[in-house]
Amino acid sequence: MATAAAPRSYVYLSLLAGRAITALADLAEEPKVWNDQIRKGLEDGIAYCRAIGEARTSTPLANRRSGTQRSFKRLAIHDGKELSAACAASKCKEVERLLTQLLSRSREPKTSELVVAIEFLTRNASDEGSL
Amino acid sequence: MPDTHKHRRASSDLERRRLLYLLSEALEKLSRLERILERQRSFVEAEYRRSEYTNVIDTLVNALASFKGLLIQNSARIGAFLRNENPTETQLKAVYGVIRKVVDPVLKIHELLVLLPRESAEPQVFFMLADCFRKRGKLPASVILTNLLSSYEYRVEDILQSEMSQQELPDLKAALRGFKPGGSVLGLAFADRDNPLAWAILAHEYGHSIDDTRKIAHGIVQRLRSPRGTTDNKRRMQVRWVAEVFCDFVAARVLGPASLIPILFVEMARSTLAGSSGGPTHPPTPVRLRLTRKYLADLHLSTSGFEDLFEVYEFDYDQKLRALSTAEKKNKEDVRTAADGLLAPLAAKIAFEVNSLRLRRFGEDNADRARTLQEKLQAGLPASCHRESSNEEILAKLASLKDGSSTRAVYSALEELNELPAMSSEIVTAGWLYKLSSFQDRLLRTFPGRTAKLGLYGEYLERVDALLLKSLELAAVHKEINSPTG
Repeated sequence: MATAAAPRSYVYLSLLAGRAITALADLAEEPKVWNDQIRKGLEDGIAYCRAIGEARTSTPLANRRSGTQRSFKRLAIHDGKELSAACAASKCKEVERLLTQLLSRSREPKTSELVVAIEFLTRNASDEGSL
Repeated sequence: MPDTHKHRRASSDLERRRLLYLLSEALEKLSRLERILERQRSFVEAEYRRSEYTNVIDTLVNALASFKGLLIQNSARIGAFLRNENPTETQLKAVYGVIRKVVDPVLKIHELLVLLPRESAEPQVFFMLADCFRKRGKLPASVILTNLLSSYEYRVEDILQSEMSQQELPDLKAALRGFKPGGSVLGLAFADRDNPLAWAILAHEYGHSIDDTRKIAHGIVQRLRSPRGTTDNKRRMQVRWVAEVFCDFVAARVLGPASLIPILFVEMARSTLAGSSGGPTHPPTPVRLRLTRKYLADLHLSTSGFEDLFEVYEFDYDQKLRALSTAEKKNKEDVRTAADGLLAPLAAKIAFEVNSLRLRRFGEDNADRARTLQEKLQAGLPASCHRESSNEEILAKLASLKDGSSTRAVYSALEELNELPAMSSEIVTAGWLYKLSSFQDRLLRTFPGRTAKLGLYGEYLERVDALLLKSLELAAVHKEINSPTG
């Protein structure tokens, strides 16, 4: 029986991101072109963004540890990551919105938007939260 | 401005070369993992006929096939990039993105192989180490195949004590207090079982075995005048850093510049610098690279044939450093400054200790022979031996023979045809020189146009592995025959 929850393994997420990058690169080369590979790639990209977004809203492992086990150095690193995580979350939403618009073919993409989306999808999923 | 323009062009050229190495790494890891899984399948099918165990292998095989599919979807794009057809910024970023999305998960899949039955190391790895370190008979170290986390380390204890493990298992630090490691076990990545080129790193790991027995790094740090208040932890870190450079020099002395290459590939394949080299156990790799290159230069050993990779590695490190957050970047830079401050003044002392070990030195004559052996590999022949006399010298001697020449004179001329076994260090260097000079052409053939022929790159790697394994084996047998007891 099919389930709604998509598997979130790192390997699977990388594949989704890779297919989305491929679709965006195809659109960058020929904005008018449309085929199944592009459609599936955009859908995979949306699934990737949603998985990443969900992972961000879950509590990071480090915060569940007792305070005495966290050195000042680690605390500083994680706090820094939490700050940058907020920026990344908004970028994730932005990319998801773009992919949704491209999927509905409601507008043509700008090259600069595609570059931003490709860069976002290229980033390592393990940096995107506790996946 | 012309200077800025020139700088931008140089940078995009380096970016392109970096991508080439990364693409080769992606294809190589895919091909090697496929080979391992094929062997595992044969093993399982022979051993347990109706086992569901093959499902595990099928899952991994299917995952690899998906990533091959991703590369095939991008065949035309990657091909255009390889042919340098003025790719746009978006195309370049897409090619980089796709390759990253193959390399990163494939390296993760590699770690899962720890769950499958363990293969043993090839005998040639022991021939190579025994030859490099002049050990006849049993090498006082074991080589095990393992995951990337614990490979290219001297002992599993090093991994347990590393910061990475302690972050994941905070109680481990307390458990390991006062723990005295023992035994020599060199870790080799599963993927590099058949890949003699990657074995060059084991010469470094064997250096740890020498250092452990003689406490050389400890002695060097002991003689240092440390400022008051230097903690035991800092001392321990200094000993570890000195030990790493000591082992780099040991490996460079016996193998030449090829000793550095595998670690550069390992680091370039990583997506970020976070959690990579440069910490309590290892000084940052750029510091090690610089000191080892200087050591090689002091030995009057040329690094030609390897310079391109050194340059691209430094560019790659710099790019990854820029991508870090301000705090992480500062941390990396502080560690680099501290490592430089400690190790640069000690380099001469470390070199002196290494040079006093009476190791078999890889000299310029060995490098010359390696270049000749490279030609054999290019011709598809094993590179296990060489002749000391040139064809011209032999022909001149043969031509000087007359009807009345003495038997001794005839044999003396014929003796010139004798071939001598090549040293393992020459074979490995020849292999690297061949690989670095041929992989781009193979990539081009693999991505000729609309559909990539990924199998071609796998066949190329398999051929190089087979030639090198055969060369190491033949040279070992040849040496044995030539030995007084042979």
